[in-house]
Amino acid sequence: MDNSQRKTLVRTLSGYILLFLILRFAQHATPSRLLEPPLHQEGLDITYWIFQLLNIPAALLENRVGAIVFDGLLFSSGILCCIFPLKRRFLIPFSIGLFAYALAFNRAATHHTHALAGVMIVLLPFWVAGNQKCYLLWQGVRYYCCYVYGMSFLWKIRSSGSFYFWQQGTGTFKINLADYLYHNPSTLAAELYRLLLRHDWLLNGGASLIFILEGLMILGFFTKRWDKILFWFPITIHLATYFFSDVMFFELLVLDFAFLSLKQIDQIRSFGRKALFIDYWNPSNNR
Amino acid sequence: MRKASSFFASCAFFLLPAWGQISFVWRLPLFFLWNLYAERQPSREQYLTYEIIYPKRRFVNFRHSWNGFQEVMLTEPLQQYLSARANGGKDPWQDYLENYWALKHPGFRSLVHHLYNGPADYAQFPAWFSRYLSSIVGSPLSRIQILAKTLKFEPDGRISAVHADTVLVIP
Repeated sequence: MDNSQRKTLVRTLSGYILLFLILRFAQHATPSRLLEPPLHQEGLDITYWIFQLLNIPAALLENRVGAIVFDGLLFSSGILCCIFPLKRRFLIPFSIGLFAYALAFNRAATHHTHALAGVMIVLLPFWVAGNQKCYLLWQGVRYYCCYVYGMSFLWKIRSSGSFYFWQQGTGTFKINLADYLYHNPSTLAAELYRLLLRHDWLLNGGASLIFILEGLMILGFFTKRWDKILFWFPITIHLATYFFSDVMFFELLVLDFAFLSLKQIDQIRSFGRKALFIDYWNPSNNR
Repeated sequence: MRKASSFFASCAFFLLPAWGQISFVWRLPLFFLWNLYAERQPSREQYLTYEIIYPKRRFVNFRHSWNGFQEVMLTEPLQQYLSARANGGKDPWQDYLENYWALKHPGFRSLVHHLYNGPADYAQFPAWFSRYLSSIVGSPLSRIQILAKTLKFEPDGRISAVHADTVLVIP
């Protein structure tokens, strides 16, 4: 990995994360817009325990000024990361802020959502100064991505055997979309959903296919030859769960960038330069 | 050689905590139990939903999955509040932490009271819910009613309410 590839990666990751932070802000889901939520849940997660016992939520969530300052710092450090991707003095605070935000949101929601897990660690490799060490750690993110989906598959085989339960697709669909179908019975999506319920083999077959895609991600532990294909599996999984389980996990796809080769990162860079007319304005910078 | 050692180091780094979280009592967020929908989900006879109604008979409708952040922030603490109320005003976690976990780990006994909601937290909840929903709707709300509705799927995929019960009114 060289400096330009590193810059492209940091800009792509920070930009992707910022897009979802903006959506979260618009959705009243960042600390300044949560308006000091009174309830919390730490569960049995030691990180949340430390977060709570150090009284960090008092500054980030329960104090109006603290929450506004936190949001301001989170967004500004993210923007500065995009502008100066090699400056670790912006990247480190941004990744710490993301980690704290994930804990704060899940704690206040009294539900530990999984979608932010990728955002919590994806920038950590770029804390390291040397490009080669950074690239090795970046490969760790790739393994973590394989772990996430592989583990998800193993749980479905091991814990309760939902992988072998043919009605899983219909059951998941109904529990998640009952509310939507009740409140929005006349939409085109509701029409499609009712059609799927009448032909439930489509839902059950689809669920089995998703489980198999999760399992196939384990291949990534053993070879990189399949990376071009594995890249598309998480995208397929989360598009399917978005439409058929009513859960948005697109933030987790930030881990999926680890399946891109250095050549593909170069292609993203030249695409970005063309799209922003950078070479046109400053041809000397064209590498 | 270097490749092989980095591979095994990565495997150990990611798989050991996974084993750890199954074996031990604490978890780490990065090594979440990635067990979404790992439990069998048989089709049920009835499904429960909460309908949040505010003045002029309008209700909160999460039309798109990208409304999920808002939906989580409105419905999960609400369910937490309702389950505590059904538990005599006590956080269900309090029972577990005080009467089971702290007994097994007496060294942490003095800390566990920070880890569950107390009566003061629950007392603030209705006012916060009203404030938060008002900010989402964009105007101050004077009365919010929350209905627990029992829904039933028909064979043709249609869905209807078979029972509705007011579970909370925030003046």
